[in-house]
Amino acid sequence: MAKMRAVQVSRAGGDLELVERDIPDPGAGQVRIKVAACGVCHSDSLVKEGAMPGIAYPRVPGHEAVGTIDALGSGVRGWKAGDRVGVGWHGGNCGYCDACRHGNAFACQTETKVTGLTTDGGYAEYMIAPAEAMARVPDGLSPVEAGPLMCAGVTTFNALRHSGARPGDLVAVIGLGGLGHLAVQFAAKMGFRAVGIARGKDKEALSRELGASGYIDSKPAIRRRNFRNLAAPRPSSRRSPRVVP
Amino acid sequence: MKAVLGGLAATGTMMLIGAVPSLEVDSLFLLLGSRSIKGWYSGTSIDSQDTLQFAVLSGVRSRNEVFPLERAKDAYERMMSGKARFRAVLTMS
Repeated sequence: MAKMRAVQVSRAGGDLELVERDIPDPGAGQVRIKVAACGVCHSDSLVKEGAMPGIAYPRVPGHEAVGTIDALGSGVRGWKAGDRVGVGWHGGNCGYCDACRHGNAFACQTETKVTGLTTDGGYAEYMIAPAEAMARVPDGLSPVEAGPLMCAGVTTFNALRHSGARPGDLVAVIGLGGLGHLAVQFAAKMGFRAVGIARGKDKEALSRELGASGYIDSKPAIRRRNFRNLAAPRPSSRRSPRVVP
Repeated sequence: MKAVLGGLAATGTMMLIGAVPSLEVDSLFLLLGSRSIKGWYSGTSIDSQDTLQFAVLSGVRSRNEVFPLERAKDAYERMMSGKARFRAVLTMS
């Protein structure tokens, strides 16, 4: 059987080990993806440290995987070999329970499938994914560019578009790390007045580079308790939703 | 977190997207200003697809540090240290 390289965790609290594994075959409703890139997310630590119940080891982490479809299992419709795809935290859903039928696939009552947690993920040359867990990757994005958008990106983008904020509203983003640096960009591009909040004066330049129109150094601000004034200069800004990475 | 909550405008919403251990809030602060605190699940595959398309449309990109698969351990440690600017990404070839 053909082999592939993969990085796995053998037990809770174990190391990330580079191993050789059989290339897996897709079952019904699944595809095999030839992975090109996979982002490393903080929640991969849940797998490494066994911080969530029910993880079977050895397990290959990785839920920011991007690649091309390499083989299709039976019954997969709408996808073909060679399609560029990505897989994020959402690792599939049943499609027939009440939550799924209400359009809330994330709350599937039948199974909680999480990529790289309940199934093997993208720290490998190949991985298996259910067809419903795939996102189509547009031509304009390389695998390395698309990877982090599969979790960090969608987490910030999706929260912002469901926040109730309207164009011109003030959106403060707390923290300018992996998620925050994306949230500021998305907020600015969605037409919000983005304000970055982080520790230290040195992050101000970064915040503006990312598109924020304002910046707050949280250290002295907390001391002065002046967050209350955040939305004050513009009484017309009805909402000031915050994204909290 | 509690300190910045004070900046939430009347009718404003705080979107929680990270696993903060706990959050204490003055109920009157929410009541008198019709403010909300809301959790939001990251998103399903179609939400990710929308994210990718919006990134192409708007030019939004993650800033990444790239590591080959065999250096996954280094990439992971770099991410856990909080020093990565800003995401670590593994490549397979």
